[in-house]
Parts: sequence; structure tokens; C-alpha cells
Amino acid sequence: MEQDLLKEVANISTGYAATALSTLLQRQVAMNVPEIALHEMEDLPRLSGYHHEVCATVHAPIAGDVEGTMFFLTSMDTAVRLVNMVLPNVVNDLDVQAYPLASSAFQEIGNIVIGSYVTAIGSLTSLTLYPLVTELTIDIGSAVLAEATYQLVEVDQFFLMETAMRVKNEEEGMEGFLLFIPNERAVSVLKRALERDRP
Amino acid sequence: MIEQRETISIGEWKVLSHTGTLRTCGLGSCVCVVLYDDTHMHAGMVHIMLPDSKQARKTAFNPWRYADTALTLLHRELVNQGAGNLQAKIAGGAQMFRHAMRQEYMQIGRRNVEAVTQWLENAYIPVVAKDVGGACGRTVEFTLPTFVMHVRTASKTIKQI
Repeated sequence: MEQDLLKEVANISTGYAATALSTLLQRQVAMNVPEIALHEMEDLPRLSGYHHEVCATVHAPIAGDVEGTMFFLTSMDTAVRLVNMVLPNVVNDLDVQAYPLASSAFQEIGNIVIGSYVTAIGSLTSLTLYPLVTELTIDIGSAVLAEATYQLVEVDQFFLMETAMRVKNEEEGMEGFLLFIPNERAVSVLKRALERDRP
Repeated sequence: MIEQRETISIGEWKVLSHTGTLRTCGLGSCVCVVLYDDTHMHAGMVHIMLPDSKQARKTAFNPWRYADTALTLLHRELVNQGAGNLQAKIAGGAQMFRHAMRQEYMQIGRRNVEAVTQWLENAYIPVVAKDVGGACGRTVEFTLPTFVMHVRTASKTIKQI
């Protein structure tokens, strides 16, 4: 089953990403069981509720043997708290964008999380893949996700791999979402690579 | 009477008569077009993604994703409902990403707006109001019977056009 296979990939890769985030923040990070679902393009802007709010999103096209798009997305409140954990006293309001240092700190958090996820897929499958240029966007989450649909215009359905990570021991929830949309060919490439290792 | 509220996504459309709200979210470089007739009280909304259906590589494509085919179909739909003197309001066509996008889609917002504008001009449908371009995503609501379009962006300001 493609779904089970992708779930395993997401599980291991998010594990790496959560460990990287935990090291960076010096705090424990928990993750949910990854959700893998087949979607149509029309679904993307109206997925989970938080997408309708303004979110901080780092996104990167993924290139190499496995192509696709990755997102690291948090609420603005979480973004500010994350930035404060790595750069204390830089921002104290929601306007991350007004502070270049805060923006680049958040983008760097996204880079690390996305980078670890992608690296984990690489070592798991012995395939080569890497994020191309990453970009930070502070905007309505659904609109940011919708921009990714341009990569999907020729496909009927695609897999969305989503995992939530949570910083432990925080009174108010601090959650980040990792989304990976492998392109059509990427799914079969991943499948072949994993089956090869499992006679 | 329960007020009708319809939310559409990329490549979708909806027509309303007399009273209700049409809504779409996730509008980045996509363009939302509302065609309406305020005499006969009909309005139709479509969420367009790309400028030209001739770019579709597959034969079985969703015509509502492309400006030319979507507007032709929406126009026909409204005329069938009895709409005559059509006007248009449009929103969207931003460029949200500066780097991380495939080259062929970098200017897609601007090209979508141009394609829509050109189509409407050819069909002699006046654009009464628009909120297009820029770098921000939008959420759009169009309400009957006022025929007012509310455009919300990340900065939380709501424009009425």
C-alpha cells in the first residue's frame, strides 16, 4: 500500500525534524502520527481550520530524485514564541515581519526542520533530494497552500503528508505543521527505493 | 428564509439569485471573478487559476480552472438563468512568492488578471471594481442583494469594492 509506505517515510522523517527542532530549542518536541491522504487540488485551500488564519510559512520546492513541495507552517503566535526561544527579547508583538532578524530566525527554523525531514528521506532510501530556495511567507495559510497547486495542475490526485509537532511543557499549545506534497513520480520513486531494501 | 452561503475553491463556481453570499478563500495568484446582473438579481462567482486553457496538457481538464473557458461557461450559465446586462468585479492576481516557484508560474497573477480583463473587454462586460495585484493573499465575499464585494487580506483590513 502506497499509503502505509508514505506513512512510514513521514514517521521517520518527522522524527528527525522533531529532534532537530528539539536540539535547536533545547526543549522536548512531540509529534503526532502522520496523516497521509489522497487529495484533489480543490481540497488544498480548505483543509484544516488554521489555514484560514494568518500563518507564518516557510516553504521549499524539493528537487533531486524525489520532487515535491514542503511547508513548515505555524500560527503567528507560535511563530513569535519560537523566535523568542532562539533569540530572546527580539520580538514581543505579532509583527514578525517588521523585524528582519525575527523573520530570518523563523525562516532558519523552517530551513532546519525541512532540511532534516528531507535528509531523513534521503538516508532512508539512498536517494538524493534537497530543498531548493526556501521562502518565508506571512499570509493567509490557505492562500499560501493554494500557490502550491500550480505544481499539481496536471495531476488528478496527490498525496498530502502532514504531521503536527508540539513543543512539550508549554501551557498554551505551540504547534507547527510539516506538510510534504510529493509529486506523482516521487511517490513511485520512493516506493521502488523502499521495496528494493526489503526483499 | 435561510440566507444561502456558498464557498468555492480553485476551479469551482457558483451562481446565486436574489439573496445570499458567495465566498472564496485561498486566493493568491488566482483571480476571483464575479459576473452579476443587478436588475434581474443574478450573480456568479468563479475562482480562476490559469490564464489560458490552451496550456492544458491533458485533454480532459477542468474548464473552470482557466480564464477563457471558465468565463465563457459562467457567462452562459448566467444568461441561461435570465441575466442580461452583466457587470464584473474582480479580485486576486497577487504574487505571493518572490523566489520559491517554478519560473513558468512566477508572473501568473499578472497574466491571470490580464487574461480576465481581456476576456471581459471582448465580451463588452464592464469591470465596475477591482482589487488586484500586490503581494498578499485574499479572501473574497460577494453579497446579494447589495452586490458589494468584501476583500480581506492578511493585514485584517477589509475593503469594500
